[in-house]
Amino acid sequence: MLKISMLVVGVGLALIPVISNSTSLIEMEEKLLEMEEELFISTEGLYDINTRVDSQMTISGYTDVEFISTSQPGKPDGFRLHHMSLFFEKNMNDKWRFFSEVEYEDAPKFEGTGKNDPLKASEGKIFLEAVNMTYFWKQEVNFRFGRMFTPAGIWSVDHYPTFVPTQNRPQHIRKIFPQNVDGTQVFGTVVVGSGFLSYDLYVGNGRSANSGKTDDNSSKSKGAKMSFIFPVLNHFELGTSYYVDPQDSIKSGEELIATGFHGKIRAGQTTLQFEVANAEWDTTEAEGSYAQLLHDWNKYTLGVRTDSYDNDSANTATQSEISVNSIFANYHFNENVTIKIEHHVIDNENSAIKDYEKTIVSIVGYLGN
Amino acid sequence: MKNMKIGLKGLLAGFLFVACTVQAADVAVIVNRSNPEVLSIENIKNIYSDRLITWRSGQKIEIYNLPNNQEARDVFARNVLGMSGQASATAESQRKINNTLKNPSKTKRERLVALFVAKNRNAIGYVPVYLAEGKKGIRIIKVLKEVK
Repeated sequence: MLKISMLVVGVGLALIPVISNSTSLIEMEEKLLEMEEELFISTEGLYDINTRVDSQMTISGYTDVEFISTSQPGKPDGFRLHHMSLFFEKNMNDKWRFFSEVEYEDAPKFEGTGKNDPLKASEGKIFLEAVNMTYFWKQEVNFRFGRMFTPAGIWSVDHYPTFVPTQNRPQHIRKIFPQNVDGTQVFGTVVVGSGFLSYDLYVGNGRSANSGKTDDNSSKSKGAKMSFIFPVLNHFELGTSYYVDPQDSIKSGEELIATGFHGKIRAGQTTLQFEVANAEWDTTEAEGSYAQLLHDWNKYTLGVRTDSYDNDSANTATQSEISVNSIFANYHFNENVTIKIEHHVIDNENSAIKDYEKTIVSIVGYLGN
Repeated sequence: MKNMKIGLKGLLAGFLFVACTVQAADVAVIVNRSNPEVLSIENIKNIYSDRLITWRSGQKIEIYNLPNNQEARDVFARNVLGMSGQASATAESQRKINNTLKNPSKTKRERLVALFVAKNRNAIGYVPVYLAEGKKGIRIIKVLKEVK
């Protein structure tokens, strides 16, 4: 009997660790389940937070400071606080996006006297360069409403100092096609074989001192741009632009018909970009073109450009053509800061006007996304 | 027993070596497992260049990028876009501020990209291979090697 009792006690004692072990195993399993659940909740939370962050308004911008040295008569060397621009963007939902750019150019200062007198100080420029709402319907058809950069050629749109290699732009930009359009635009990209056809069609108020509420154009301006991207090299794009304004305000209400042709070819780290444009008003014609070759090498961008503009190209007697040959180098400290040095040789067709040279050293900062 | 320990250590060292080698160089382009699309490098380039913004189904593509300072972004950009990671970030910033960007990408850390692609049927992203292999909800469509 005693032996049996001892055996039972022995077996009981032997089983204690097994039972307690299995208890702790169950506890561990429960703990693991709890942790899995917590991890799931945390992951979902993280997903939600990130989704919300993606739809918040973003503020970005850029700024640039230049030192300009020139042999142009009457122009002293000096610094220029050129731009400080702010971009406000918001993805309102999957389809609608808001975009705006407020530009402060040449360190604007406007100071009122507090009386009916004129301003005590007025210098620089504050400019609402763009403000629009875009409805992204589908790949091929989208709509934009508001003030937008005129879709004409390349530089009209890709013009920001942060991303172009020179502070000086080709001369004909903004003189043949207007800088902005207040109106509406349809745009999209159509897949054509292995290539892409991108297009922009727009209707707007046309160019005037105030193209908004007091627009003086009784007929609206219209324009189109088409580019074909060929499936060769890194990038191979050729395109054309057209713009008509029945009452162009900068030429006393004459009709303007502008046409252009552009191309951008990138092979390896070398890019060739060119544009040719022509404007015909009732009484005058203007013509401009440039070709730019640049090469990216590590953190450097090196390049040359030749550029010409004639604001009275139909009349050779006026000798109004101006040619600018440029050489430039950019050093990109990182994706946000670039230092540029550019040298321009300006050659006037009219020998009565002195030719001159200009060197610009600038630092450009992109304020990120 | 001693031999077994040495063998195990050797195996572990070998595994770590292979894991580190793969980690440093290879990048997997990933989509959601339920996404049936077959994509070439050219297709991926067109997606990340903002030329192709919808899948064949008509659904908008959700594009994920890695932060600019990550090696995997550079490997991806050099293989697919023919430019450095920094240049690809600059190109997207340019499209963003000139208001021509139709389908902005979202920049997330590696593990988040894997998580988002696993959760979203319309997503595409790229991560180091070790983060994609065996991950639930993800399909690897291309493995990219470091460009020397």
